[in-house]
This record gives sequence, C-alpha cells and structure tokens, in this order.
Amino acid sequence: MAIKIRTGGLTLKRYIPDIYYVDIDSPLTVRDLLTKLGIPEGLIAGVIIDGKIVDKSYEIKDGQEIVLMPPISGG
Amino acid sequence: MARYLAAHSEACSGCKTCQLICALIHFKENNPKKGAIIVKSNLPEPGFKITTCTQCGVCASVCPVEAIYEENGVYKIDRGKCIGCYACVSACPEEAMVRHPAETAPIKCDLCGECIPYCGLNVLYIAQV
Amino acid sequence: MNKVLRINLTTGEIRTEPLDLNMARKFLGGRGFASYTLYKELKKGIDPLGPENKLIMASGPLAGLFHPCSSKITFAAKSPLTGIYGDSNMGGHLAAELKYAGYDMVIFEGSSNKPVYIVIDDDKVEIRDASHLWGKGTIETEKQLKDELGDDFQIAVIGPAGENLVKVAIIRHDFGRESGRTGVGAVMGSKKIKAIAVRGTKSIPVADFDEYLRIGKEMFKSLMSSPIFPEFQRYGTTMVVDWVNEIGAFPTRNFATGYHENYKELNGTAMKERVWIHDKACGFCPIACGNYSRVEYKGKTYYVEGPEYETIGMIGGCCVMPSIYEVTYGNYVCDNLGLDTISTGAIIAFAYECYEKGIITKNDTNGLELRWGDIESFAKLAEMIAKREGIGNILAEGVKKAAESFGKDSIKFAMQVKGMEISAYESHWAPAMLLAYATCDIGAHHNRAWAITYDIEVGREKITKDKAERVVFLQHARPMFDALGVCRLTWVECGLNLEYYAKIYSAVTGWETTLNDLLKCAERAWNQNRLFAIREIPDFGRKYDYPPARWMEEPAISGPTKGRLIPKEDVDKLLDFYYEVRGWDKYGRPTPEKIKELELEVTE
Repeated sequence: MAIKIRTGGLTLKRYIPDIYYVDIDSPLTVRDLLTKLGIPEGLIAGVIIDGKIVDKSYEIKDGQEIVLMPPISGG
Repeated sequence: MARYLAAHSEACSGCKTCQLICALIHFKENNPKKGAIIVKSNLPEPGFKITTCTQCGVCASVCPVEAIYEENGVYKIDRGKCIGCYACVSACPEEAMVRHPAETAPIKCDLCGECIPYCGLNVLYIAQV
Repeated sequence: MNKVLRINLTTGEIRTEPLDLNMARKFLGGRGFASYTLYKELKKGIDPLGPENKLIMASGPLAGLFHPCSSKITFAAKSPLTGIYGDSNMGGHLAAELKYAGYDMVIFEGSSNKPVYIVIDDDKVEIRDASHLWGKGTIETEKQLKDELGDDFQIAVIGPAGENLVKVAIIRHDFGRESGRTGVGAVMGSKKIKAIAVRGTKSIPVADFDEYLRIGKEMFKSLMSSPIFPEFQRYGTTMVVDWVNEIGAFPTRNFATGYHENYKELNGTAMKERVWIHDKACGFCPIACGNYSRVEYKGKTYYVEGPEYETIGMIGGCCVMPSIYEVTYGNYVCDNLGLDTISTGAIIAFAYECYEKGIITKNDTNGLELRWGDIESFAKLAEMIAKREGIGNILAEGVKKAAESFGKDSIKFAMQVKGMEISAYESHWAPAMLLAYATCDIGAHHNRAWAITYDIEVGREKITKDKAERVVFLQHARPMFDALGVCRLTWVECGLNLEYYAKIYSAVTGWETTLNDLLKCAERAWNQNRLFAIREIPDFGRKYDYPPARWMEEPAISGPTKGRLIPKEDVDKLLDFYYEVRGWDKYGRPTPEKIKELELEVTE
C-alpha cells in the first residue's frame, strides 16, 4: 500500500524528510511503521490521521496520510 | 463589485504582524503604529477586534481639499494635499482611520493585500460585495 | 542612535547613554547585555534586595523587526533566590515597544522609598506615584494602567508577591506573559517599582533595508510552509502532556515519578475542550502558542493565558491535581498574585510531601490541611506565600531554604539546583536532561538546554560524552535567541534554519556575522555568568552542579521509568565530560585559556 508521511521540525530531520512517500507490504500499525523507519517511538509526540489524533497501535490503511508530530518544549 | 480587506476577528491572536508589514510596504518603516489595520483587545476580557477600511468613500466626501480620491473602488489619500484637519477621521463610520504623531495625513488601507499571506491564522481576506 | 536608559530610583535621576557598541558586538543583546552589565557594574556581595542591585530590562537587536516571533525581552539582576546571576525572558509586545521608543536596554538602579511606576513615552521618561496601585493583583494593575495611559502602552507589572519580596516573584505583561524565574519580580519590588509602561512611536532603523526585508519575508514563508505548520498550530501543545507521560518524564508527586495516572484529564485535548477560548500570540508570531482560557471556580469566572506545559506539569503533575480545571484556576491564582507557577508548583508540592511525612503539621500551617490534588489548599498556600503569612514566609524563600528550615533530610526531595526550583521534565531516567538542569547557569531551568529528546534519540541509559556535547551546544543555541530578542520556538519546533539568524543580523546591523559568531557570543555570556557566580560564592563550582538526592538515590516509583535513577557516579561522569567540552577545569571553573579565548575580564 502506498502511504504519505508528513512531518516537520528539527528533531525528526535525521530520520525522514518532511514529506515522505513509502510503500508498505501489509497492514501495519503506526508503531510498526516507526520501527520500520528507525524512529524511536519516544520521539513522536502524537500521530494524526484523517484529522484525528490516533494511538500508536492504530492500523494504517492504504492511501492514508500520516502526520507525525515531533515533541515540542513547553514554556 | 466592491472589494475591501476583511477579517475573521474571532480567529485573531493579536500578533500585529499585519500592522508591521503594512508600515514596511507603505512607509519603509519598522513601525506597526503606522499600519492601516487596527487590532484592539479588552484584556483581561478575551478576544481581539480587527477594524479595517471598508472602502465606503465617506472620507472622500467630507475632505475639504479633495485629498482623498478613488481608484478602482479603492479610496486613497494624496498625502501631499492633506491639510491634517482630520474631518475624515471623525466621519469614518468604521473608525478605521489611523493617526500617527509623525504623520500629518491619516493612514488608511489601500487594499494592497500584502498583509494577507503573513497572517499565521488566515484571519485576513479580501471581501467582495 | 542606539540608546540605554538609566533610571536611579533613589535620586530620581534619569539619563540616556549611547549603547556600548563593543559590548553589542561581543554580547549581542538581551541576556548578553545583562550578563556583561551586571558583572561589570555590580560589586561582589551586594544584597540582591537592596538598593545596590540593578534590574536590567533588555531588548535585542532583532526585536520589533519583520521576521517570525520577534518580541522577547529579558529581565535580569543578581537573583535573590540563588545569589548569582539571574534572568528570565518574556514574550508579548514589550521588547518590540522598547525598540520603537528608541532604547535597547533600561537599567534600574537604587530604590525608591515609596511605590512608583515608570513611564517611558518615546523620549519622555517619568517616575510617577504608584500608591493607588500598590497591593493590587497583576491583572487589575495592568488594566488600570491601560485605562489611564492608553491601550498602545505596553506594561510590565508586579503583584503582591513582588511587593513582599517573595523570592519566586514574577514580572508580568500583556495579561499573560511572565518573566517567571530567579525572582526578578522581587528585585523590582525591592525598588518599589510597581509597573513599567512603555510606548514607542518611532521606527527601528536597519543597515541594509532591502536585504533585511527580503530575508524576513523568507523566514515567514519558510516557517509557515513547514508541512506540519497547520497541525502544529492546531494541535501543537495538545500532545506535549501525553508524550511526556508516555516517556515517563511528567513530574508527578514532587518528582517521585514521571507518570500521572490521570494525565488525560490534564492534557491538551482536555485544555482545548474544557477551558480554551482562543489563541494568543506574542509580537509578530504566526505560531500563536498562547492559550487564552476561561475557568469557573466557586461561581466566579476567571480568564487566564494558559495553562501552558510547565504550569500543567508543576501544578497538575507535581501537586497531583485531578483535572485541567484545577490547573487553570491555580494558574490564575499564581499569575494574579505575581508568583512563578514553576517554582510555586515545586514549593507547594514540597510542602505537601513534608506534611504527608509529618515533617510539618497543622500547627505549622495555621490549621490548613495540606493534601495532594487539593486546589483549595494550593490556592490558600499560594496566597500565604505571596503575603508571607505564617508558613508562607518560609516557603517564600524558595524550596531550598524551606528544606533547610524544616530539616529532617527534606533537602533530599527539595527539587532544586543552586537554589532554584526544577521545571517540568522529570529526569530520573534522562541523563542529558538531568545534566542540563544541573549545569544551567541560573539554576535549574529547561529553557537553556532542552535535551530530553536527545536522551530518547541515542538511548536513555547512555552516560556518554556526546550527551554533554549536545547540552553545551543547546546552552549556546537557545540563549542565542534570548540575546537576539526573539523566540526560539521557530527553530526546534518548526525547523527554521538557524543560518537565517546570522543573515538577518548582518543585514540589520551592517556587521558581517556568521552563525558561529553568534554562538560564540552566547558562549561568552555563558562563561560570564559562571564568573559572576564564582566571584559571589567562594567555593562555587562542581559542588553546586549536582541534582537533588531524589534523582540520584530514590528510584522513580511508577510508570515507564519505574525503578530508575541516575547514581552519583554517573552524574560525576557527565559533569567530567561537560567540563571537558566547556574547556573548564575539573572543579567546573573556566580555565585561563578559555577566559582569554572568549576575551573576558575577571574582576574581584
């Protein structure tokens, strides 16, 4: 399945570009996707798919756009 | 078709970026008080209220020296002609005219639209009636 | 053209001086100016709450100009809380306004014998009677002055806490921005300055106008075109609380653990759904991270800008509040009294723990029962602290002095470094973050080096030199923003290239400057602050760079970091690496070579 990943900020730059298209073989959870991309789970503050915040156990569907939010420092 | 700068005030965060770019474009100054957009708050009550010129033309009709002229539906001030009587400021139904101590002529929006892309919350837009 | 305003509250003398351009080249502005000026002008050993201390209000060379997030001002002084250099910056519109009035920095000297407020109206500067304002909360004070002077004035105020010289008192501005740390509010109160009101109607000249505007526009476009900018604006703060709990770094129960069982009642989603009304921004910021909220408590409605992550962590987590409502009300109470929510959260959590352990009892608290998660006792204690009533008088001295007063080994869980309370990143298992807190120049604060993501990136268990290198880099890069007078959120959070700052600084000043030059200036100010501390405290050095015993000896009691701690041997290893990277000796003092390299002068 083809999926699109969208992210930004400095923290995730070393792992993937801000916009990244990836082909994945079978149904995959967000958690598995992060493992596949080599991104430590603790560096993802939140995941948004179809405008909703989802759990890392969420199963990704074909053609979806996954927004990976990096952590931000509070004030 | 009349056009003018309008705002979704309820989404405004009060950052005043619009005022600063307006002053830079029209006066080449880092001086938001010379911007043509008015951003007011009543803190600690919530909310920001944006006032912009609706290009209604009342200012032009009261100017005793005809310093305000119309061009493609937009009212502009000839700063050289203005005598600083401020009849236009009092007459403006929106209270959208801006006065600044270092400027004789008041300041009003000329619909250049340069502020719109710099508003982070998409508050400003061109309204058409 | 660049000017410094010097106001003597004892004599009433008001002077304008030209800005020292040599200092400007070496220290940039903001906290850099404060570091240099305080070291140069303060004699060693003065009373931070006496007339010999100076309160610095410094804007920066990039403040008030057209690029994202360009209005951050620094308040600085010798800190009454730590006895060394202290500063705290705030956003809002004040930094820009000071520049429009034509000043880069204001130095307040001496002290008035009656309450006053300062009005800086372009070239007209006045010291006015503030007896009608003294005793009022920050909100009423700012509102009254806005009504008196006009909405186009930008105003900084203190509350009762500052007036009563509470050592964790803040300076507040724009109904929601605070200079919260190191007790700068107490210094302002010691000079009997209730408020500072600024209006500037002039422009800020720049060296190369066309180049400056081109770069500024590009910075806005680059920032706003980050692929997650819309999500960042909409959700940005929403996820912090969840994320921090998931990694076990949410300070809970006075840092006993990094996990709050009911964190979903405190998170950004809870905030957005239950209290948030609209976004509020500082000057020229498209991110608008401020949350303007409404909370009802005992039939009354309160408005407050907040709560932001730190307040959720320190009031919601540390004091174990049940939901965002209690946190928001607690935020309002502290803000209006003029108390730092970070320090106050830590102090009250400490008091709760002491009460739980029987170290203090009802006899000490005037009959007030102290309970975790009880907003009533929180609010009452905050009031007692602000008014220095009963036990509030001891707590007003900060958590370290309170522990020294209460005894019974409570110092082990008085969460502070160098006398200043730790902020909201629970670091039982975050060595880089622990190191950042241990070595922060003003006492424990996360703003200098937010290193917790590095721990996650390379492995939390690692005690390695690269963690020290990262902390040192952050301790230069982040304060660089403070020195320039702008907000750092553009960089790490939104990925704006740091090189832009060198480019725009060059265009604005006309001085050809690289990013390395800017970072060098930040390193210089860092070392300057270390020299200030060494001059003030004879044995200052490594001994003062340790975290509290809780992190080194008591394992985290629950959550993702349960059982973890960072033993002293590991802290020592980290400090060794840190001093090596910094070019300091083994005791943590800058070597003569480092001092020479940075062109600093040591004076007694």
